[in-house]
Amino acid sequence: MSDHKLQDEFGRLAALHRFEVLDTPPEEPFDKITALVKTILNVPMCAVSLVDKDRQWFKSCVGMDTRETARDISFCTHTIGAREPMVIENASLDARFAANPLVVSRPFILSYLGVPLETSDGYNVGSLCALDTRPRTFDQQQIDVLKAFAAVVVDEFELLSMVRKDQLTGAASRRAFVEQARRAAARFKRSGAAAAMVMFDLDHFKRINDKFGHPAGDKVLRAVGQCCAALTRADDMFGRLGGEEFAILLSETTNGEAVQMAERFRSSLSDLSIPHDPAIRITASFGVASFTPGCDTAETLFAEADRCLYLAKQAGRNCCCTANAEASPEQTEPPPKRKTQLPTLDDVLSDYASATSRLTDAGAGSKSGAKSTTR
Amino acid sequence: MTFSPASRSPPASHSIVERLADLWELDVPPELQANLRRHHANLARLAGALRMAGIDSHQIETSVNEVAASYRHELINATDSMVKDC
Repeated sequence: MSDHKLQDEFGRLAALHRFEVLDTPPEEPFDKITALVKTILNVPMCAVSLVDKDRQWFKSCVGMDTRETARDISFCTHTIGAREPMVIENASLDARFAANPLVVSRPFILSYLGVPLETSDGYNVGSLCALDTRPRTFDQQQIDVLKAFAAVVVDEFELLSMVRKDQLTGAASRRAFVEQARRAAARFKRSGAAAAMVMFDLDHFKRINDKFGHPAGDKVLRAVGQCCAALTRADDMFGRLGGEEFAILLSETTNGEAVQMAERFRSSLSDLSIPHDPAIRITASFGVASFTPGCDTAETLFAEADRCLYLAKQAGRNCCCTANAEASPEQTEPPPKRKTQLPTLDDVLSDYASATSRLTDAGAGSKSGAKSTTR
Repeated sequence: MTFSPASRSPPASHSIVERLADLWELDVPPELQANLRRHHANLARLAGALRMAGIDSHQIETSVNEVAASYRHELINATDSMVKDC
């Protein structure tokens, strides 16, 4: 066990953020554990607390009706500073906590038992804690019970973390990507925060598998993962939706900016030369959509991006299509590196009308407003 | 309150042993096996800690079964998503 990691706050936060769990919805495995701890230790409150830079955020919490508190008043920030559990028998008699708002006002915590949640690489990302509104002691057997539950919590976090990441490409999994899109939709509805989705699909990927074999296909997918990860901004999410279909969720990005980003991804992928004998070249087709009053859920955003991706395929592949009329003036002419002229939706409306299965997801309103941003 | 004298708690039942064995029967990808091994050991540790704390056998069984069941569910999801992507 490397105790220098107890002082490595940067590494600790990186370990926490690798879980990609902050601000995710409640999940059954954690809620079951907090409920069991509450019963078994006979406490009114229990929480799985993750200690972020400036806050503690509860992945699960019973007995308290809050999802987070400021870090500087949290008990758990003390717990993560050590390898052993922290026991407070009477907070009102402890100089560190006697004036703490969580002690002198709701939820009136008086006793506390917290066990660090230590990742397999030695970072304490949070704690599993049992809390009471009366002074009490916790014996060694009870402490051992909480330690055992804490180990199970870490197992679950690490498992979920693996589920959230596609092991082949390093991209977020479809599940993690959908969760992120739902959070973006909630932010859009709450505050109008712009966000856009760029969805793309590798052109003729099946031919690569058929011609060069599946190991070569995997090599291509890994190369796509590396290329796109390098282009993705810190606040955005790059995900693999399945097979050879990927997407990027762009936060605080207008539709016009998203089209520019899509074009950058398209151009970079078409410039890739993937080592093989012979070297493999790829292209991809892109659909771009953004939140609007008529497209304000993750599901409608996916459907709209997917519809535009389909139009890009119909238009001859290796191009970007979007349904939003907004475009910056410089996008009205093709960039110098473009290999194929991007189509207007008018060019493909006849195909659009005949494309039955995938187009049924798109609403009639968005069809009528559909227009290419670039040509 | 579920504490009771440790001497009155019988050993963990066969169903817990079976529940733990169930996990091993899952065909999981190599990437998940280390996590499965850790979880298996941690469930056994949890059952032991609950017994040492004097928790009654029914509560031990319920607790371990609930934790194992939700882990199993997530493990199957994880396995499915990895297999689909292959």
